[in-house]
Amino acid sequence: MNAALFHTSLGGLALNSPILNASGTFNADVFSRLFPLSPTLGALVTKTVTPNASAGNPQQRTVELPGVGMLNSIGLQGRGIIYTMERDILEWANAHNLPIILSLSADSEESFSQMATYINKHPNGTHVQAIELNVSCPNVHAGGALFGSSPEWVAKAVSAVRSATDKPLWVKLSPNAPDLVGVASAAADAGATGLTAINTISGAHVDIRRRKPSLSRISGGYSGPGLKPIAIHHVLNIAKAHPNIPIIGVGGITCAEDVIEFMMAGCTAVQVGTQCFATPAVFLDIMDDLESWCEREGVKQLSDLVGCAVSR
Amino acid sequence: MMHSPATPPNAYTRLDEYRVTVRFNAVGPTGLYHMRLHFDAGRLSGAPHAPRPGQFMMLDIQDDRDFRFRRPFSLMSWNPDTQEGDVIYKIVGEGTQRMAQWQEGDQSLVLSSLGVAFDDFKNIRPKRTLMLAGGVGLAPLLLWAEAGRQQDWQDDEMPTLIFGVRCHEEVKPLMAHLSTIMPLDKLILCTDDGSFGFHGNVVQWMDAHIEQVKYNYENILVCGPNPMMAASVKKSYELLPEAQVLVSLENHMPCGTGACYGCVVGQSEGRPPVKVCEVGPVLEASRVCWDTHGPTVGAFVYEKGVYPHFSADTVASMTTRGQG
Repeated sequence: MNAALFHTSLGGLALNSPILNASGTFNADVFSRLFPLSPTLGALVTKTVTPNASAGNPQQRTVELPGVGMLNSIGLQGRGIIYTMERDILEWANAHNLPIILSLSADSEESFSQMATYINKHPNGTHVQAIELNVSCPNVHAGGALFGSSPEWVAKAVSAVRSATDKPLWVKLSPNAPDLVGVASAAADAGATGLTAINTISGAHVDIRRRKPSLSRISGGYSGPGLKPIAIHHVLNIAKAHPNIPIIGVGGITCAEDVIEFMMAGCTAVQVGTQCFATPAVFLDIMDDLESWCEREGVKQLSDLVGCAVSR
Repeated sequence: MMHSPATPPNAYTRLDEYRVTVRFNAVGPTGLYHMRLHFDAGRLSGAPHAPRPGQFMMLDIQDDRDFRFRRPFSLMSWNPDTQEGDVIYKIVGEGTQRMAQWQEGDQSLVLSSLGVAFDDFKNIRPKRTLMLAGGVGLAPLLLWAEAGRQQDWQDDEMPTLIFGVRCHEEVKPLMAHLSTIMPLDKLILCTDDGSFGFHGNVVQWMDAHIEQVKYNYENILVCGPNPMMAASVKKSYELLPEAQVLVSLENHMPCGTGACYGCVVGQSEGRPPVKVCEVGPVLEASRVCWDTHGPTVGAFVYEKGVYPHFSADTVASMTTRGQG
């Protein structure tokens, strides 16, 4: 592998590769058996961790949407922040030597702040290289409305975490926000060092055989190839409004050409999610094809491509 | 009550991606497909495929780059010398519809071997084992029996197979293979329409042979449609409360690798839900929450104390202890 081609720096965080996994789509234990994770992946983004354990939603939790992706309503199933910091994080750190990006979610800015303080003070907190805030969750102070829909609420959450930790802090933006660039600006002003764009977009599916919605919770998050043009649209807008904050692009990436497209649209790094389910070795294919493409095009460093398609 | 095995990662033997080539893909009179796949050496390890009975594989059904999940399958037969394995399926959705079009020489990709195997559970005595198969659920059970034959199990050591199908026509294409594995006195066919063997399903067969079941068996292995498994598990514990009943589950399984949390089932006694692809697919039936339709996610609530509770006090107590 051509190390110089892939090396990148993301808001002070040095990465061997700009290709990461998307939160909730990747099992480090299984994937490390499939291929050498380092330096294939730039960092490992964890499944979202909540303050306390949650059993998640009833079945059915996923729907395949042939050709275009999937819906999911898993419901943030997990074992909570304490178990994660005491146990899981040591397992991940032992399984590979990748930087760990801890994805966090909470239902209030106070709770976000407490989690960040806990991570910062925990002896195992040194294994956390950055935090990614998942704000696609209800805000109890706003009657359960989506945190990520409001620039004001996101600013409060980011400020709360920012004052609790100096770690690099990314915010994963929701396309369900009426004004995504406004939310991005609020996050940047409140101290985010990276913007992840975009999370899943709300969607639903009716099972015409059973004559009812397929998902037990009726609606879920749509992801997959069909999400890509929506993600590119938002990335271009954020890059134009905020040329100095790194963007981590995510949404429907399946191949090397998609990675190049996101980088040209302004992304310093990208995350691959849903395609991991269909093609677990997708990272190997992407890295191989990126090398070939760059050689053909005379590109010496992938980072040279970042933002070349953004109109200034 | 025993709840083994405890550590799924140990069960992942030689997980790799394999290119497979269709040797034949034949359809029987009732729409049951029988496909033979040849496995190339693993793409990453270069080692040959070595599935263990009970484990599963994720079969790629994508055409070029059009997005589809992989589909989980258990092999029904495996020949380590030729590196060929057999799959049986019926057309139940778009994935199997596509597979039905595959012809000799067509290729695909397989992620294998995933999950835990029957022999990860200790104390299974084949001779004292009753296998309850419904339709294509035959596959993992017959593979286990076949692997036993490859280890020289004699006729009197073999398990008993109760195989439920709709009609005689359905089982005819499988009879040649079945009879090479199973001694005929240990192969009982049940047909819904009574066209061959026992008239009824496997649970009705158990009801008609209560004494035989009670005195001859201590292990029961079940695989089939979810309602069939739910009824079989209930009947098994009713007749043999002390038996070790193992089920091979096949939930909606988008990834098969433990990443997506799409396939979870609830555990009994209020314990946290588990991923079927990771802790299963073979699970002790008493460990799983059931209703009449099959396994369920259960009560959806973690009992307090299963995992540590986090609150403002957690952070406050860290400060006073001077951590960090």
